Amino acid sequence: MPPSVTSETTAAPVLELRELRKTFAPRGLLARRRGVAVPAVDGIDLRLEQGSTTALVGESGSGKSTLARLILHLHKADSGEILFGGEQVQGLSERDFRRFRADVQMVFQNPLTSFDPMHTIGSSIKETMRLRPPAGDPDARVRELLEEAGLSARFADLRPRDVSGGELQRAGIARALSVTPKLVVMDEPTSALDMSIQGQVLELLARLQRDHDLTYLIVTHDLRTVRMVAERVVVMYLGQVVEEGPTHEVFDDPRHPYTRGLLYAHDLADRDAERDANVRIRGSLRYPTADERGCRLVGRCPLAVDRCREPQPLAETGPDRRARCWRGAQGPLDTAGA
Amino acid sequence: MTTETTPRERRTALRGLPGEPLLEVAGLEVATAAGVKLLHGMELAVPAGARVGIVGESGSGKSMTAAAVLGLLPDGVRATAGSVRLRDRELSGLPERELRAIRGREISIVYQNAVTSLNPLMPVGEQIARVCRTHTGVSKEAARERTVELLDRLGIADARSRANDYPHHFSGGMAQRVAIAMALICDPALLIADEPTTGLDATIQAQVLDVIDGSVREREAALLLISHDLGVIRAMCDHVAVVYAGELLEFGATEEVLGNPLSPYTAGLVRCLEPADGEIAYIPGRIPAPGTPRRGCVFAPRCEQATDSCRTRQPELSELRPHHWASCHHQ
Ligand SMILES: Nc1ncnc2c1ncn2[C@@H]1O[C@H](COP(=O)(O)OP(=O)(O)OP(=O)(O)O)[C@@H](O)[C@H]1O
Ligand SMILES: Nc1ncnc2c1ncn2[C@@H]1O[C@H](COP(=O)(O)OP(=O)(O)OP(=O)(O)O)[C@@H](O)[C@H]1O
Ligand code: SF4
Ligand SMILES: [Mg+2]
Ligand SMILES: [Mg+2]
Repeated sequence: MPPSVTSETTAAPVLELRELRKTFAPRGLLARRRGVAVPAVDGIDLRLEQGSTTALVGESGSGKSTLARLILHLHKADSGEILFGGEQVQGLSERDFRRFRADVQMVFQNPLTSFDPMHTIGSSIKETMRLRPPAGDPDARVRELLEEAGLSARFADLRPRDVSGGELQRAGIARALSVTPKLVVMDEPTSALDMSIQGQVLELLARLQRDHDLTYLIVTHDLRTVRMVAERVVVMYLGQVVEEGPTHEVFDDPRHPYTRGLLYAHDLADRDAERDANVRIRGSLRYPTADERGCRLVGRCPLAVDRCREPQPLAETGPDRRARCWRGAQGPLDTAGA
Repeated sequence: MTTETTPRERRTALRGLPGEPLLEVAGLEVATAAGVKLLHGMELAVPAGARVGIVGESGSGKSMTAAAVLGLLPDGVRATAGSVRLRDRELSGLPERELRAIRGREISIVYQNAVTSLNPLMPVGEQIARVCRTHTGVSKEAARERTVELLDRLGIADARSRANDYPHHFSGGMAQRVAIAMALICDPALLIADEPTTGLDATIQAQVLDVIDGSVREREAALLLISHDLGVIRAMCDHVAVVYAGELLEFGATEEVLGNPLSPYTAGLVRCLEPADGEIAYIPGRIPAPGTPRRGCVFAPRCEQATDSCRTRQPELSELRPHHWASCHHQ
């Protein structure tokens, strides 16, 4: 729902982003001369309701991790607002900011770089727990957390290098949950996990969500996971939201060709040449130049026509649904030629 | 490495596959300095030009097997028994100098968490071009051109200018593709890719798999693809090895293994792939921690079909159907 339509009676969302922006300056002689700055996050609005799970999907390089880092205050936004529980995060006092740091936790995309290589997994978790010390014995709590994440207690004494990729990813989840946060931002939390362990981790997350009314923002490329756990999905492309809405509606009837291409690419099996030509998104991301104001997918979209070179606003495509494509705003895409 | 002096005669049980054997792993055991075994007699076969997938639960020893093949086990971890053969050459026990000549030229690898294998202090284009020159001896300019072309094929926009960027300037998935480029640029006979597309979204995943597929095909190279994603394995591999707790449980043609699994563990993995609507599917229980004493079938504690004999006698890996091996008492 766009912020302007919010009814006064609903409680403030756990997190609200308004027109958030972050651009990385061009680097290198060639880049600077041509001025290709990277608008990694380019005017994002987002609301996360308490107790909900939202999935953030989008092509590699579309700005998902940057957005996650902005929420956690690991990057400073160029402009825009971040409200947590209705309060401006930028204006928090030091004490409140400390509370914010415990309330909002992140599971990082690359677990190997997010754990201190010199410390054991147990001491890394205890370090995070200092933000909000547990009632009982911290060591016992660490063991309990590891067990919950499907790891035995012995992992507390191992260093990041001495465990497998999927084991460290689960340790990252245990660490994030160690301070009973309110919002957990997870960047590819299950990508290195096989189907069975994925299921166990997702079940754990669902249980903790029920017990503690947690809110999740899950960045993932795994649409199967999205379908299983997220009631809402937000699709990003080149720093912008191109589609958002209830997961099953978006997946059953995608209104942006990028979303449709993503769903299609996910299904590695049933390909046929005709559908391939009409649906598949080819080529790679390209940031628009200053005089290109139209749809950012134009060069890659199988449905592109002249009209697409005009600016594309995020338009309502149904109750609680929006898409940034004039075709999608008119109706289902499949009747539009695929 | 090992202190054994007798040559290791042992050959893999996975014999009789069509094609010349390229890589054979037999009875491979790997243990920590404290004597905790991480691989318990691993078996694997990759015929020349074949595409073999390895699937298995997190912590089951997939990456460790790849590391042992390359002679790149982590500090404190050693191969204690078994054989790794590349064509007719025994690799286990070879001096580091000879192994180094094999790595890169004959076998190259995309590491899991490949991003951490990039040098943070050097522009990515330069890193890839260096690897290219070391292994192929082409000129600096040619190496640079090949690098840019490969990055472009892997879907890195503006590849020529982005080649000047450092790893931390890239998104997770972009850095991963840089690491893939590094492994693909040196024309190996065997490419090992450890979870090459985890963390990549579906469109890029399809594109990266296409590039891996194309370069393997072009050079008639073999591929050993480690992935927890059965969909990827199904699309890319003609054979699949299912590993569990440091052992091979099942091996055969992909369609056959996934279509008619002989091991209940494989059957469980296949079921997890397509859960009923709104359901989260998994195999209850967890993989035994390394060092847990073993008796009987290693999967028995989690297996719905386990009987007394499963809990007391270890099943042997045998060819239960033509070119389809499994170790299970109930087949
Ligand atoms: N350096 C090490 N020292 C001791 N044990 C290790 C070391 N590295 C890994 N292990 C252990 O060896 C076992 C196999 O690890 P490996 O990395 O091969 O798993 P994997 O199958 O690749 O799992 P994943 O899918 O999570 O990457 C795991 O139990 C792991 O904890
Ligand atoms: N520290 C940085 N300096 C310069 N550019 C950066 C930096 N971090 C990210 N970028 C650029 O911003 C863009 C978005 O990156 P981001 O990491 O947010 O993507 P992502 O959607 O998380 O992708 P992935 O799925 O590959 O992880 C990319 O073009 C990336 O190169
Ligand atoms: S606006 Fe045009 S180019 Fe953009 S997604 Fe829609 S149809 Fe494709
Ligand atoms: Mg990312
Ligand atoms: Mg691994």
